[in-house]
Amino acid sequence: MKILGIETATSVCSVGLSTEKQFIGETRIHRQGLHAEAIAGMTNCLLNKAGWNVRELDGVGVSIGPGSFTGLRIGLGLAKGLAMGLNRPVIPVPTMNAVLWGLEPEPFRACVLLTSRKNEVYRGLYHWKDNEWTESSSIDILPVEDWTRDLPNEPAYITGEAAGLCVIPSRFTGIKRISTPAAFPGGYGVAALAARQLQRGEVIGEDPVPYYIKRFQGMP
Amino acid sequence: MNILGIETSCDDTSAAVYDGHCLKSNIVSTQIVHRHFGGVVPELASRSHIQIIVPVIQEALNQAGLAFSDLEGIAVTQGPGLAGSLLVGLSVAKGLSLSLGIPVIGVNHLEGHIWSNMLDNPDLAPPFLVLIVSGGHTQLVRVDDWGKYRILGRTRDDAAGEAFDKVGKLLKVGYPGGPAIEKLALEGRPDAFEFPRAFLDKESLDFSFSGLKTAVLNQLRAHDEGWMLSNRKDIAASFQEAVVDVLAEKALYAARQEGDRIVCIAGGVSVNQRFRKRLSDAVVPEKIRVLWPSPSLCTDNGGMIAAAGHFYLASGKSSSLSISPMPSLNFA
Repeated sequence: MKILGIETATSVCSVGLSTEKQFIGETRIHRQGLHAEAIAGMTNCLLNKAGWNVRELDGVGVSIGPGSFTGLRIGLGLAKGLAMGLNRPVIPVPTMNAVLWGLEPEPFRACVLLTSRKNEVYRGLYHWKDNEWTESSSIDILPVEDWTRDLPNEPAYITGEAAGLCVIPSRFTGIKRISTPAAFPGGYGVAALAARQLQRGEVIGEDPVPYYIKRFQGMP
Repeated sequence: MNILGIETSCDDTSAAVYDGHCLKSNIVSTQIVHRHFGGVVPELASRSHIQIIVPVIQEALNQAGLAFSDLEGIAVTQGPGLAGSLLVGLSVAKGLSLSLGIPVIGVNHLEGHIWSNMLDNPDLAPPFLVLIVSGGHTQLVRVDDWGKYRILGRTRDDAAGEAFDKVGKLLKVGYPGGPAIEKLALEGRPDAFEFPRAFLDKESLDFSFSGLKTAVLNQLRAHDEGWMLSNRKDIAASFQEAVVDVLAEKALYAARQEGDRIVCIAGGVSVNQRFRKRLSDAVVPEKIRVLWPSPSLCTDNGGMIAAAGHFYLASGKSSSLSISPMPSLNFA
């Protein structure tokens, strides 16, 4: 099974390749505003270097959010175009799961923080169950300084694009902060998770939309 | 050579197939969500585009009776337009280009409007003059040759269609204002109010519509809403007359200046019947021919983008995978 993964939800622009069994390749560049211009060329280049013909792809994984609205649409637009031309599925992968991809299980809990707008963060809480990271509660949008709201004082990772901005109060013990670049999601994680989802038949919907979380304000 | 055209520059999601002779399909999905806000909301436009772009493209291929493997190029609007909206079309176009192994061609939206005239009049040959009038643009363009353009004049403030929308808001007729004002105007007197016609300098081919909008506003401020409701047919007719007078006269000046015998109209405002009549009447003594695209080619559509893209690809020109949205892209 040959899967492409596209990751443009954060300030890292990345593309990766994976089979259901192994890592094939990944390109990631941390540069704000690069995504629209670069992601298609990076995809083409990585496929060439890996010796994969685009027509061999079995599916196109894409980081579906939460994240930058524009970033999500750049990645999903490219994924939709690729999948349509190949007659293969788009496989939407939750961005926070892509952040957690490859993290050692211990201490078995994780708090993922991604950048939102207006000094806010998206916060997702996860625990390790049946050999994978599972959502413990639904994703919240919180002010950066309030990221520990209702957070249990237990050993856990904090990771994600916004993890570096958050001050860890001294009462919290056993917090392991993951630093860059591992705190960013990457295309390989997206591809690997997409391969797993495809294998399990977890392809959510035929034609996905970004996972914005935020409803547009003022909608009737 | 079958070219898929994708257009997502504002609030229409569109895809079409053009083969160099025939427009095989031209699917346009207009986003109605903006009506609630009285104007196009960029974030909502982007959300709608990404949601419906795939079915729109698939429908364009179905109607054309083609498979993706029959395509030889993907033409896509690069600008001008809303950055987030343009991005959706560009990203999907690049994905198709990569997966099908065919080139992507970035097209200027305004140049697309010029090509829309060729789709309805295949014998149309440069040189000729084009007046582009839409919600976002008002420009007089000289087509010296296909691909060679000179801008003779443009609006210095509001676009003509924008003026219709703003006055539509003042008259409480909903969004978009153009069709509603045109309908009201049918029952109103165009000489009921003396609204200003901004011709600017005598030689200028530029436009200005903000003063006209302010004149309507001042008229309304002097009265209450009841007065507005009982007079709005006359206001609509008088306002519309002021806009079409300027558009028709400037187009005529430009045609005289360039010695052109053909004037093409493009853009959403060109569906306005009063504008068509006013311009047709104005050119009669000058022996100038006026051409208009059919209504579906006046408003934003993928067909015009496919036609422009076909021209460039046939001339050996295409774009790289790194093309980005250019919200204020100019041409000429």
